[in-house]
Amino acid sequence: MEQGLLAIILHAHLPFVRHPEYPEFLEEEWLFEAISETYLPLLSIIEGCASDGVQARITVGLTPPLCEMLADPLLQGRYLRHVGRLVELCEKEVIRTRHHPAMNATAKMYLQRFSAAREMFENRYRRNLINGYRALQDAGIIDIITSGATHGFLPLMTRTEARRAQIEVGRRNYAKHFGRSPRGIWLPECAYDVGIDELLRGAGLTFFITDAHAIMYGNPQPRRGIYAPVITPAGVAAFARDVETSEQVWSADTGYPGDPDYREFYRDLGFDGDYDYVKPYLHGDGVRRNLGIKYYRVTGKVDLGLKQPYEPSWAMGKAASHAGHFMFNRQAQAGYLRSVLGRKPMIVSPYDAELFGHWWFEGPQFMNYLFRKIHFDQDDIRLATPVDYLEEYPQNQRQQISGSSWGAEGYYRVWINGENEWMYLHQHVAEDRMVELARAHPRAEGLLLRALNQAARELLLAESSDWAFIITTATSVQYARKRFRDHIHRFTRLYEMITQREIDEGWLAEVESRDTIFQEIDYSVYR
Amino acid sequence: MFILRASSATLAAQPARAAEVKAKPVSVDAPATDGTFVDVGLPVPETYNVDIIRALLQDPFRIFIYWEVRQESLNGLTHYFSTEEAERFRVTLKLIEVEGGGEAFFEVGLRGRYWMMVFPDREYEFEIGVRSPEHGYIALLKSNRVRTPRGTVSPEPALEPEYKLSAPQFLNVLEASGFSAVQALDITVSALPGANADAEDLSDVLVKLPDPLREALTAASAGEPLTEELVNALPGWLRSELRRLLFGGDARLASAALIHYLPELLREALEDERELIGDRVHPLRVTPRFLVGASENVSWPAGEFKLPAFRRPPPVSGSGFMVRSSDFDFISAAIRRNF
Repeated sequence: MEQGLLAIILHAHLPFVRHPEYPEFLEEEWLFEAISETYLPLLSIIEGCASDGVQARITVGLTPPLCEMLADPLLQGRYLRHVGRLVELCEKEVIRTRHHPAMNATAKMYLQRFSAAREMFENRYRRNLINGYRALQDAGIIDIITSGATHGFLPLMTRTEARRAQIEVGRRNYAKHFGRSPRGIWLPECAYDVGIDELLRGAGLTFFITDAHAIMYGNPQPRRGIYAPVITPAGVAAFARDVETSEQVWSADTGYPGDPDYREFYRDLGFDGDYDYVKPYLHGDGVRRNLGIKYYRVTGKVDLGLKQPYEPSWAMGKAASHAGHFMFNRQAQAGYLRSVLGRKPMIVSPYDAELFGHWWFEGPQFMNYLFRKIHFDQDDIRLATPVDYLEEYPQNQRQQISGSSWGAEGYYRVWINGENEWMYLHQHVAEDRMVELARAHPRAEGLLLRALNQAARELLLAESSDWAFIITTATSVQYARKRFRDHIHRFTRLYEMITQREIDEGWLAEVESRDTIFQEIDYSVYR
Repeated sequence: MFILRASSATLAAQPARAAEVKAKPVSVDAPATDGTFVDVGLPVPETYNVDIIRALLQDPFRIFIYWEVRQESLNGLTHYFSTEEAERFRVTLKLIEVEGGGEAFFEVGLRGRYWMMVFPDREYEFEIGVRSPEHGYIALLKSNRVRTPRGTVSPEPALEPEYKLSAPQFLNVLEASGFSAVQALDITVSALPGANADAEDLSDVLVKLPDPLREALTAASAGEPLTEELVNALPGWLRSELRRLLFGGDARLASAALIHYLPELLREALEDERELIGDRVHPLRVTPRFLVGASENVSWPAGEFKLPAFRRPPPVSGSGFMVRSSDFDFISAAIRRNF
């Protein structure tokens, strides 16, 4: 008898990175790697389950910036070039490793994978992976949810108009790509502040995802803990993340990805290979970097130099056994929770999609095994989406959930601290000014309309929560600062041009050709 | 969210060939001295010449405020007062606790930013005004309102009978959801990768808490219900919150709530530990919030900020789960840092 429901939610997001002004650009690779290692494999796995009659009913969040990049012809072409070069390198690798059977098997695996990726991308999905995801949703197999227009951190926007615009532009962009209105939304970083649910309802959304303590610390006490949604004052359902299932996958100590047989991320051909041999596949600057071709396994807590060769079949075996382990735990968890909570629990397991395949190479295969085992090997738990739950249980407790996010420490600190607080004056003034512009020009046309729309784009791009996040975690800090300043600068210039009624068309056209996100945008969303 | 790579990766150092290009560490703030173009982005204004005050929540105990008031706006005072009187006004930041009516005034400059220590589950707003000995306070700018989250469990069960829980039942639900009170004490403090924080370090920190707080925490972490006596000895705001739980519900619920405040209490306890702040190799970093956030502190070198992990309580063992307490925030921070 069914004991519980499992909602796997894969949140796929990348910031909008597109640099036509350079023939190639390092940060565009984030997209190409995610396509090869995560988005394509996930698609094939879900399609494979569907054609085998296996239920793979999960929720996939595709954020608007990611959708815009997947649909962008320039980036599509650059991806094909990128993966074409990898195929060429893999062909050389197969030859180079021909006297080392273990490495050779792995090299052939990469050749097969990248060749298949190129072929599927070009022919099966006609260069736009959204086609694949949309088809799965249209067939009722998965649910796709939206997010903020540029994944902006809503609680740190002090103008309601700015928050509303992030949601509305996101909603419209979803409709453009998926041919219908979204029912659910992944709030960027699961960041909730009191009042945001009103805006979601205004956009016709019926549910969103929060972190566990949003409900656990909400008022009044939640009858079913984090295992049932609550209805917020605006009438929108909030589903809380189950921390335990997150830990099983994410944890450094005990999570699956750290298993000794899985692929080691930090031994890459780009670093290990002979410099002259790999140089044509590095960037123009010639600096060694990850290429995505890796021959070693985690092995254990050993130095990088002592890592042992990767054995694909061992890794697959582990993925299968971990899937079984995960499923067994969910069965036990569901049975226990049902007795405590008096209703079938909904275990919500959201993950960054890029965890599966990119960081954890075998992640998509783990998912594949998991879907199949859940389908064939037991009856206790069933894969379901938030929409499914609300259809089965339309009556739920009302609660005012707590302000929160899924960032470190559970609130907003990652996005507002000593390293990045300087950004907010600029962002808030730009938000105020955008509202002012939208109200001052209710029926713009021609050049003025173009300028107003571009100003909206620049503001949205500046609002990406990614920049503040990157600055805090000290990864590509220079790039994040550059992006934020570029967009604030462009917005400020557009604001001055519009208010002074003197628009430099040449400059505007140049900016329009670079920051191309949201061709459908309507600046009046800021009114 | 995505997984990032450093733009100039220097992982897994390999022996260099003569011709190989090495990544140069780029200092974002220092100008390039060898003619290399470092793209720091297009220029943004130093100031917008507007009057503005905004408040941003950081967590249940901290709000960040920034403001700018133009000299022209202050000059408007001369319309109402003589020049001498106008000169005696000082720019003032006012904190307003909306529901309780509490207020505080701080003399400040025309432009500034401040990390304000506040209490959970309250609504705050801020003003910039001017104050003089003769005429008192006059408001000029008002900020947005900020509601601080509760930071712990609610003392109120649902009113509807189908959702109402007794306190022991709620404690069960809390534990089943992975918010076990007893384990919260165990794993709240965590170390950065490569460090060796352990139980000893945790107790070093705990001894720095004020006595009444430590006693209450000791009782709570042993799974004992809090007594009225223990609660009454606690600091003001904490006492009133826990009294509500104690009398409205169950003493064990009060214990659970206290435990969930623990991370914040530890951070506050360490606020005075200048030697801990200054000791960059100390294995125990509870959180450096006060290092980079508090207005009064010593500033950390730019770019050195590392966000430590915050662990969650694992579910109760013995329920058949095979999960152990683990550091998932750490791994995601490590992923983002290292890619």
